[in-house]
Amino acid sequence: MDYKSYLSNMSQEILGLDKDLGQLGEILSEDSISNLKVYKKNYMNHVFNILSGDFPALKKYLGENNFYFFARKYLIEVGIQSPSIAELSRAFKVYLVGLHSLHEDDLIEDIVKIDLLWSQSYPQEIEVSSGALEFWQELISGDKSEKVINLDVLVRIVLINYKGEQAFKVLT
Amino acid sequence: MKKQKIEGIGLSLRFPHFNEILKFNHNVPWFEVIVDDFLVDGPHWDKLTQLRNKKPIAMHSIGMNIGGVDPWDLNYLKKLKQLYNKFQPEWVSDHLCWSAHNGKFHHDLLPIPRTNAGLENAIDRINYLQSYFGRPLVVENVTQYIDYKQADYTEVEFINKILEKTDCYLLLDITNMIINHKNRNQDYKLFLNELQMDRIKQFHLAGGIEDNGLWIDTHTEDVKNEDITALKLIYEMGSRVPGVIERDNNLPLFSVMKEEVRRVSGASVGL
Repeated sequence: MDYKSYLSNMSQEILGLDKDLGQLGEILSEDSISNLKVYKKNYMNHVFNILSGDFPALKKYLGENNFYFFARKYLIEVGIQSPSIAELSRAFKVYLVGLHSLHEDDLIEDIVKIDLLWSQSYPQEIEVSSGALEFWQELISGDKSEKVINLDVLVRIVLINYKGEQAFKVLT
Repeated sequence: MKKQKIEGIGLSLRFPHFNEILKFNHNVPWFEVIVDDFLVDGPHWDKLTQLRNKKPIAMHSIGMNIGGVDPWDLNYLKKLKQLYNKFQPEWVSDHLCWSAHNGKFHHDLLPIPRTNAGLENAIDRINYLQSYFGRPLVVENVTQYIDYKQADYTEVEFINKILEKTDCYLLLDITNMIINHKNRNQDYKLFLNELQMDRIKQFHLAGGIEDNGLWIDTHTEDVKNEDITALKLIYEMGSRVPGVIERDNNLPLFSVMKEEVRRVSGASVGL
């Protein structure tokens, strides 16, 4: 088998996650085939950890099981297409917002925007529904907000450095 | 930027520790920066500038895909080069592994088949990278949880051939070396006896776990005493290069990591 085929077969098997494609009997020793689960688990866990870190409010909003479901769905349908870890989260945001199953939830897009601004300072300025930021803070802190969400009114938010700590600022 | 020789045991820079590190009221002599965390601009660049002004750094990446066959991601390489120029690391490193294929990235360190084709591919790609960056590369040995049926070289033969043919340096991950040998019931001292020790630029040490009889390099635990014993042996064999403690998850406070630095540094006492 040529070198490129080695990598192709290994890659397909690992990216297939739970699926056992049975392609590696020619390449790997028998013990090694069962140890492949380490790489499969690493792949899923690595992505889940990155996305959990970059989307803390979304994870709370969806719940851990649902968040994991969408992260796994993203990996199977799209995969990681950049060596940049930051790009992974940005691509996941685009994917989530485009998912038909989440279209009915108007808050998802606002939550992921605020999450990404907080975790990556990206982009520099975002526009979200009035009350969405307070809802995001409620998700993060657990403290109830009195603010009512108004999807028809948009506010612009940026990230600032306030007394050495990062903070949101709502632009008037 | 601080011109200072890298010596002793340092730490892999972790963002939750950044503010504590920048107080500079500690004795951690140097830091290894995961350059992939800095590929996009942000407040962390300012923090790294502050760090670099006071401490020497090395830059370590995970995405060069040395063992892969995909065309080079020139945007990625260009970004790495920009960061090297901006932050002036003392050396730059990545892994002897493949991490992407057919445009899909694994973000993992997959072992290179130790065949003649695997060797030639790795040599060609390391030579290209060294020419592109205009500096020598340091390459790290990785854990190998699998064995390919075909192997034209042992692990140490493979590494030595690469060092010889490319003039690159080795980042000897002591934990990876020990895990690879423990998982195969082999003695790592045989590996060390054959290794080109004069090409070692740096060490890594980390803490892993055992899962159903298989040791895994999770970077989640304290450095094991047997790893410190191995480090002491390597010092006695004549290699006194700097090292870094890696901790990715289950991250304790910076004060705990400072204590780890002190504990691991004890390997050099009396030598």
